[in-house]
Amino acid sequence: MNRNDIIPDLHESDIDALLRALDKSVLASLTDARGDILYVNDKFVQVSKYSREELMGQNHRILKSGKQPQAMFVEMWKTISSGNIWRGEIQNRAKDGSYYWVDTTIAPIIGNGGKPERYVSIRILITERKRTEDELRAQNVELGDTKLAMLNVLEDVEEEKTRAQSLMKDLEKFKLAVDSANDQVIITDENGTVLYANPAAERITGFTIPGILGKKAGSRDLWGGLMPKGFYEQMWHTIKTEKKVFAGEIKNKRKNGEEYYAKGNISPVLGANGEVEFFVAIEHDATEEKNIDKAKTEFVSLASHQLRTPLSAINWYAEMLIAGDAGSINEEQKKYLEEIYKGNQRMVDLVNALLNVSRIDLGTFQIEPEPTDVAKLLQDVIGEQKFALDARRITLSSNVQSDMPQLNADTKLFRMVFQNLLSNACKYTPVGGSVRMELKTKKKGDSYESLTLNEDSFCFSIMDSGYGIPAAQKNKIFSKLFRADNVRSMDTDGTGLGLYIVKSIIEHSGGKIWFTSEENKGTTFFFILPASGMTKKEGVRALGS
Amino acid sequence: MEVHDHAILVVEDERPLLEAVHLKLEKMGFEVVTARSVEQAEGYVRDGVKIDAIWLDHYLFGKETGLDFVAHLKSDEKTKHIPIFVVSNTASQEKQQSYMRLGAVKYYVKSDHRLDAIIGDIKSFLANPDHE
Repeated sequence: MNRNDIIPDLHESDIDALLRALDKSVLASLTDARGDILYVNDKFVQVSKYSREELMGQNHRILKSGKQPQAMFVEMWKTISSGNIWRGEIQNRAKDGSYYWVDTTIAPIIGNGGKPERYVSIRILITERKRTEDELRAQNVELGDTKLAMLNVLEDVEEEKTRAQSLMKDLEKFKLAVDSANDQVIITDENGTVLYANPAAERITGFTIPGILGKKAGSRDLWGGLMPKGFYEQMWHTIKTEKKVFAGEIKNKRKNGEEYYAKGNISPVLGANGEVEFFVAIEHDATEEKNIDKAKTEFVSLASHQLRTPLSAINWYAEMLIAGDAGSINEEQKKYLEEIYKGNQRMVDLVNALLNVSRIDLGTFQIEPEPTDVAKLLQDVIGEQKFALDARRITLSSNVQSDMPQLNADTKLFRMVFQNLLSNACKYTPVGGSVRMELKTKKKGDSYESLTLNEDSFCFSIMDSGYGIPAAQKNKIFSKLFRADNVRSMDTDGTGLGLYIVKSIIEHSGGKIWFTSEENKGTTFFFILPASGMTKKEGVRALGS
Repeated sequence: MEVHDHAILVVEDERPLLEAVHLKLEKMGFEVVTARSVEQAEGYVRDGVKIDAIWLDHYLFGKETGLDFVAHLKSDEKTKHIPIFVVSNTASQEKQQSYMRLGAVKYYVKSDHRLDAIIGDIKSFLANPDHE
């Protein structure tokens, strides 16, 4: 039996019962073929908020919410007008403008002509359910988003973790490196309070790491306080005010009181704002080096003393023989003896020069400046060399500024400079040549030869008409034991160390030495020294003879 | 004829050098007494040997150096007037200054000077002790 046929001879009471049942739970309505309302139940009235009178005869479309696609209604009419049941969810609008959702079933009642005569609708109120569904959907979306976000975060966290781990490994490596370093590494804050000290610091200073942390680095109650106050002031000024690296040698004391030398540097570490955030101080115990240096110096002194003894013996016995103290000698004997004597003199010069060179190399030589009449000194040196100059018939002229002031100079060293330059000029100039010297003072800003002087200076030049220096060998002239090719075959004596020593003296005194030369024309040596004089240099030994 | 009857005490440990100095001093008219250690030298001084000047090396036999010898001599009223000429092969500025501070007349680096020059200086000094 076709359920769409509502049997016309149903009893009224059956229909009432049905309707009463329906009233409780659903919105029921009956419309004609056009959709005009023929009947609505109480629930329908209640939900739609229209009165029965307002609804009767109205087309059902007054309840349309306008929120649904027209296509749905088109499909609905198509379905039901062709005799089929339609089911769907519809959002309707109540009289007061509020909306409600209904799960709608519309069944056509087919008339005798086989076409729908009426439509019966059963609607179940699902507004709550819909709201819940919407909420759930929204929640789901939110959950989905949250899940995505969390996944992203997890990914980021993973990345960060990996990076942190890699950084940790690097840091570990660095920490390992610093912890096992032989040198002392101390890191402090911007005020010098120790934040970190490595095991080497403990080993070198004798203070334990816990005993160092939190204290001021290098303070008097730790390993410092042995240097003059000016030293520490200078150090702080460099690292804190100038924000530059301070390098130097410092005398410290270990916990047990033992003094030691440390060599190292302190570097300021600047933050993003350019201000000092940390200091990193790296020092190594230079005691060993100092001891080695001391041993070298003592060895050299001892060696030169030992070398001088036999040389003195040869000197004196040859001297006595030549003087006839052991009996008269003939010309030939005299000649041989003089060769022995001369050779020996060269050895003595060489030993003296080697000793000076070793003192220069070890930095142990002294500079003891005193007011020196350099003009007179030059004259003295010329006097000493006169014999050699005359022997080679070399014309010497000197142009000394008339009001030459005194220079704060180490007389011994200055004498060596003049002696060496003059003796070279004489040696390397052929017989009958000329040597011209000039000594003057110049002011800051003046130019001297190719230089512009940056302070008041003493300026000296010595020009010879000699063999000159080959261009290819000019850069070796100041090196130890060097003799240029063009003069090597000549009969010149000398130690080969003179210019090395002279350059060291000039440069340690704050001056500059250079030369110009042309082969077979001559050479001119120049030097300048600050008029303020040579700086006193503490040393262990003086350069001698 | 000039009478060079000055007596020089030569304190030097190296035998060949000691002999050369001895010979030359005698050639140049001095009486010579030689010692190779501070102990030996002080022995002569204690014994009252005539000593007008001293030629002194720094490194010597025995425990004491020339510097110790000078210190002893200068602290004794009887000997502090004796002029001392230090002739050594150590060229250190420090040592030189120490000797001069203690009152030595002059300091020579042996290998840089002729025998007759050093002895000539001693002669001049003794002839005119105020000139330096």
